[in-house]
Amino acid sequence: MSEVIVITSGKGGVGKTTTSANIGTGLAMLDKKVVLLDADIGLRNLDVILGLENRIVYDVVDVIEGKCTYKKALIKDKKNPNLFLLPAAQTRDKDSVTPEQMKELCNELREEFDFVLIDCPAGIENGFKIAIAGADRALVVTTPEVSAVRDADRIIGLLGASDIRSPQLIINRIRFDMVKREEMMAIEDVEEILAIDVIGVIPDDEAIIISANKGEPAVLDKESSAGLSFLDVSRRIAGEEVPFRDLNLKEGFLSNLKKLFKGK
Amino acid sequence: MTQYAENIENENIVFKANKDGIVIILPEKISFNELKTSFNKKVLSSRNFFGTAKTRLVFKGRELSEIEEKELLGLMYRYTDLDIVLTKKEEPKLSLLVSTLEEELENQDFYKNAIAEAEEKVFHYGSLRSGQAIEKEGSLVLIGDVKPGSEVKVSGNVVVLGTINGLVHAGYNGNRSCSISALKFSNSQIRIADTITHVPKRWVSKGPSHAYIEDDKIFVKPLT
Repeated sequence: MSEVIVITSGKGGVGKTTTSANIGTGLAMLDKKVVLLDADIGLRNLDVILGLENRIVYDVVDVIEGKCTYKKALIKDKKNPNLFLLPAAQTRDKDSVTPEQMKELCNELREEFDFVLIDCPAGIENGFKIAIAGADRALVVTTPEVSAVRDADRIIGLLGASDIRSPQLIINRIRFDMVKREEMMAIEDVEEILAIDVIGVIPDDEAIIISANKGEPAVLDKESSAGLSFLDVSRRIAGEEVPFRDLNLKEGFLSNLKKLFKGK
Repeated sequence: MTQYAENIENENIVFKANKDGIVIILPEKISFNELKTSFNKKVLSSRNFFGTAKTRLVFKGRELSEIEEKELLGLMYRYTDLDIVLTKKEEPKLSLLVSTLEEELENQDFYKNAIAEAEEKVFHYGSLRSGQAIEKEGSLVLIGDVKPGSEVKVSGNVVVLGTINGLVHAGYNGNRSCSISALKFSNSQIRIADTITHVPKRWVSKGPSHAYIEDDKIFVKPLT
């Protein structure tokens, strides 16, 4: 049973692309055959995060315009043979693709892959409509900030009007120390406002920035708390029952003690 | 109808005065003898138009041999009071173009603009940013950087007076003898004709370099 999942948020900069790259890599690590489709035409980033930008020869617009087959445009990941990228075009804009064409492409990809993950552009205009056109399922990414939560709410409303079944929430870049001091919204607060299921909570982690610069998703790093959380989300998407990590504790006394001993 | 109009036009000799002198547009399709007869008539009837000025003559619209030109000049000397200082023949190939672009030809700026336009097509001033693309026939000299996410695609050679960080494709029609030169090659993709290479992420060329195809592979070598 293959699935087409769109990763969206409304607001920009909350981590859609990072989430797509990490969950895609995570699912591939679980021996699923995965294709990441960058729908952010004109502002592509997923190739950079995956460190594949130099390998792009054909892009999604070429495929849709019939210049090449999708197989020709796919880029195999450097490390994981189960992971493929279908990059966006950089010198075109969102109007180069129609929702119908996107749907057709998703259905074609569905034949070959277990998971088709679509990295949605920010905003609620055409780009968003095109990105969600072929999806069965949606993951809404937000950060625990009022503005991001507001935009996520808008997106959930728009998704409700489409064919996509109940979207799930990823709360990204949470800082438990700040939540404890009541300086940041807690998971429960976000959950209450958005009223959808939470499929993952990703702590704020420097490793994300380092991994983006290296072009290697953090999920490959067994030391990274964000990476581990992304792997959990991947497991849940693949259908496993994975309990939520008590990151609160981990980031507290124990991990500090560990860091002390490791000299980090 | 059109045939008739064309004949009139073809047999007509036109005199025009501009800042370069007197332009004489000659019909192309009639024999030289016919031309001479009508030229004779036209000059005689236009004596007042010419006056006594010191001027230059320009023949246009028809290829003239030296003897033919001298004959026409002789008629001009005989039947007008002009003080002719210089004659200029038009290039035959241009003649068609000349008749349609008459106005612009009279304006010397036309030539300047044409040169500027041709230069503009070869030279690009300023860097290419992400999402920007240049696609054209011929070669390109880019003064600036090719930034990540930008594309250059030309049928000829590419010279970048800056760093290549984006995609550069030379000889895209399949010309494998094309090359790419740049002050610096960095994290980028280089294509020549049907061959593609990836410049590794942390590799940077040592100074100005040159990329070309040899044995179906692209080589980047320092320009020394």
